[in-house]
Amino acid sequence: MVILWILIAIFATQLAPHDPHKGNLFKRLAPPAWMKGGEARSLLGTDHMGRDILSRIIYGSRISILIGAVVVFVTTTIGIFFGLVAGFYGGKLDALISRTVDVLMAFPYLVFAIGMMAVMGPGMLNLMLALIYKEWDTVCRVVRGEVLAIKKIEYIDAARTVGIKNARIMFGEILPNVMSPVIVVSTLRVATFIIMEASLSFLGLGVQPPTPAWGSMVSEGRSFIFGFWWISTFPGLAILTLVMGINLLGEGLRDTLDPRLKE
Amino acid sequence: MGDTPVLMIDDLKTYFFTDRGVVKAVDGLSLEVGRGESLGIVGESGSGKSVTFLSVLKLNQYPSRIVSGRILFEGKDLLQKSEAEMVDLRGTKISMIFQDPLTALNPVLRIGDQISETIIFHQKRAFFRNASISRRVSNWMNPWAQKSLEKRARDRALEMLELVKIPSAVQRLEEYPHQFSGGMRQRVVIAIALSCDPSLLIADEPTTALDVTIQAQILELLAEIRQKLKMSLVLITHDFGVVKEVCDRIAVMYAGRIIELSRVSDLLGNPRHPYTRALMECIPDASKKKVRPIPGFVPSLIDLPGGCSFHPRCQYAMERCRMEMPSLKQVEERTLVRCHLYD
Amino acid sequence: MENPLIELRNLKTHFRIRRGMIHDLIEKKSFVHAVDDVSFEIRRGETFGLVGESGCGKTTLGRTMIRLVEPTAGEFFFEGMSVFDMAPEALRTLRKELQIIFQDPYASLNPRKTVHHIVASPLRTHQIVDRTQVKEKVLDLLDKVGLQREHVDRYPHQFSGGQRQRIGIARALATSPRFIIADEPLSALDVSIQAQILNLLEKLKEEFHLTYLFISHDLNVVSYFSDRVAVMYLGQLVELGKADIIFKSPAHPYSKALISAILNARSDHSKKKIRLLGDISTPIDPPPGCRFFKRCYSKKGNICEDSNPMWVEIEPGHYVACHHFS
Repeated sequence: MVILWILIAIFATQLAPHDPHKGNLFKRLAPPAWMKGGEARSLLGTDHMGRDILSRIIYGSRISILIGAVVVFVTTTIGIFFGLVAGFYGGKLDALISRTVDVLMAFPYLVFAIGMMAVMGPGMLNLMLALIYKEWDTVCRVVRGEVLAIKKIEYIDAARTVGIKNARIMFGEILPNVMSPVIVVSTLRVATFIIMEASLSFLGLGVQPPTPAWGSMVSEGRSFIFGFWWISTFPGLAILTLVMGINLLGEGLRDTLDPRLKE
Repeated sequence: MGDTPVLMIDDLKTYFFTDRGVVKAVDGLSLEVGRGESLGIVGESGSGKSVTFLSVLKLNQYPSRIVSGRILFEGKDLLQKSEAEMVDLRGTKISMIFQDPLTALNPVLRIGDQISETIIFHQKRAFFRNASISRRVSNWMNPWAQKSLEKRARDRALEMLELVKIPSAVQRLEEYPHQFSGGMRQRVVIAIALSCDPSLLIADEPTTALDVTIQAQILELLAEIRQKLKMSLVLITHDFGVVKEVCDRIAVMYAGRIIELSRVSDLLGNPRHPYTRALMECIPDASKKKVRPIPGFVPSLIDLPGGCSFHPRCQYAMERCRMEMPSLKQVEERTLVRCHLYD
Repeated sequence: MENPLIELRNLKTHFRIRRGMIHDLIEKKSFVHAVDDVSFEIRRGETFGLVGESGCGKTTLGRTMIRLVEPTAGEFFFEGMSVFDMAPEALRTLRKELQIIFQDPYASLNPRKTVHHIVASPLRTHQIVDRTQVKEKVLDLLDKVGLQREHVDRYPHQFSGGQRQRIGIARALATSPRFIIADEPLSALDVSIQAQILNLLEKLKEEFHLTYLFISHDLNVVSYFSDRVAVMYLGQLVELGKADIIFKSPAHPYSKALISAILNARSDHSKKKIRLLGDISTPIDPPPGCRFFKRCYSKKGNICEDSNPMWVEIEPGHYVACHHFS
């Protein structure tokens, strides 16, 4: 399922039957094809601006996936770096990093994001920055925990007695052992971010119209929900299926990665 | 030894049913423990020594299962008993203690409570099993019944701590496990095991995790208690020295079977089975006599060699050893060996 | 007499116990005196055994020598060079000469690395051989420790305990060290495997002209394998001498009790047994006086409680720290 969406995102320009930005005002508020008054041209109907919903959903997938992937990638990298350093060196450095992480964790996620967006202004780039800024704390925590546990195991001492330099130990010996839980957590977080993005767009803070994004589509359709339900529903379904797919993928990954290591 | 042995195991087979195949942990084991006797079980890891006695208590966990055989405790076959009947036996007539005293004790309960807990549990079960309706009603109506039971259990717990020679027992009852050292904790574990007056105590590597001087104390304690309470003891270990201290007879296990069984002094002075001999030659000591490791590796229990399980590593192996598993035969009074050399 | 390979003088390793921010600020500091003023020498080519029960500090001593743990005080001379004064670069170079074999074969190998990587890493770190020859040297080392060449690309979890210990030994030998600390190398292994590894260690000692510090709580193994033995109790040495003398006629009350507690299938059980009462005390903030005072069964008098006994040579090469001899 996830692969399907990714493919859709990549080939969006080929797939979408219409330009998602341009609307044909004559055709506005047309219902999905299978309902009365619908046309085959607009399979899932059109929105209040006459834009084809299907196309918008298809293009919207790009945004969602892009944001999800980028944010996760960046936060994971930052989180791993700080987690390794904090766990490995301990002492004051660890205290500094950990306290920072504690502060960040204290903020409820959405509130923080909304706050940042309010300050920085809406837009996709800002959205990503806001999310990144807050989120590296979880990864860092997880990594630090793993590092602390691994640090005690003898092979790290062995590496030190061999004479390997600290940096090499961190990245060469500890990191590979830490990766497995990190990968699993990261996959699941992609789903979280997609929902984040959707929420923020819904609130009008994320990606701006006319760029199609699932959250804002749902939001735009709010006023029309009673007569013209399809404007909100289909984007909502898109969100649902993608997120569910990712969660299942994450759990599947966890199952395949872990026992294999402990074999 | 006229009367019935306390424990008699007859051709026990316990297998582990895993994805990789059937692990024949115990494959046809028979032994007897007499009343008041102390039997040592010696073997390396994978020999099946622990699994055998977990089977006796029917504590096998998935994926292991007792496949066949009989286990007679005081004449009655345990394999025929229900789980409820086993619960009544465990901790009362048959007790077991394990290697690590730290994990055997609950860190958040006081020592006194942990000992009393066993006593109260079993008293209640016994009561409800046997008591008539009228007795039960009168017990229910008695508001002091619980309290008096608790007091009796407490007194018994104190008695037990004194039996295992813990100084200042009265104060110690109120303390927690982390306030005790390793050796003391093992004594507490023994106290719990003895609290309901078992006829058989099974000790699985009870001193392996302890320091040498503490080990000496604990073994001395076990020997003393055995004498005092006329209790039967099964001591599972990998260390011949330990067995020599406490046991009357030794059984040596290899790959799920007993390969030699005789009196301690006989076996240690004159080991018969090639494995026993080889094992004793591996053990270093101050005489600096050259240590000779046993060639080869312990066989996989999924894929045992044909014939005698030890033959690939045996310096006396004959053609017959490859074909036929020898049976446990008596070669002298109270000496049994499973080896074609003695057929 | 030849200069000793290793010389330890007044080594102290103390750990501060932290009990919480407020407590630490107000109360006096508490320290675990893991190693408390230990001095001895190890001669070239000998196997020096170090025995003691849990909490005696023998493992900490080994780790301090190799600087996995920082010493609190004292000096350590290797071939006359002062190890504790060395700069980090010099220390790294020293690591070629001084290696360690760890106790736990399951934890001392990185589960994500192949055998090749594990054994090659010291070779690469110190550039012992150049790139092209690394593989051959690794295979050569595997031969020497009795492992099959074909297994070089396998992962630790595919090996048994005894084999893993061999991998650890191969890693320690990679830099052709002169001195190896063996920290309880046999404890996690089965009896018959212990014998195999013991023989391997003996063989390697001859082949590579090694000097060993053999740390163990298993007195049988130490009595078999060591030339000289030191007995530790609560961070201090109580006795030191030739192995046969220590095991046949120990002088210190603790050594006597320890050795009489040894159980062995072949030992003579008619010998008198000394049973110590009570438990091993803690090395936290020890009181002045002999460390063994609380459990000693042959106290001389008040002096035992008040002052720590001196290290005295009662026979050539045989030292004891006990008021009966000072």
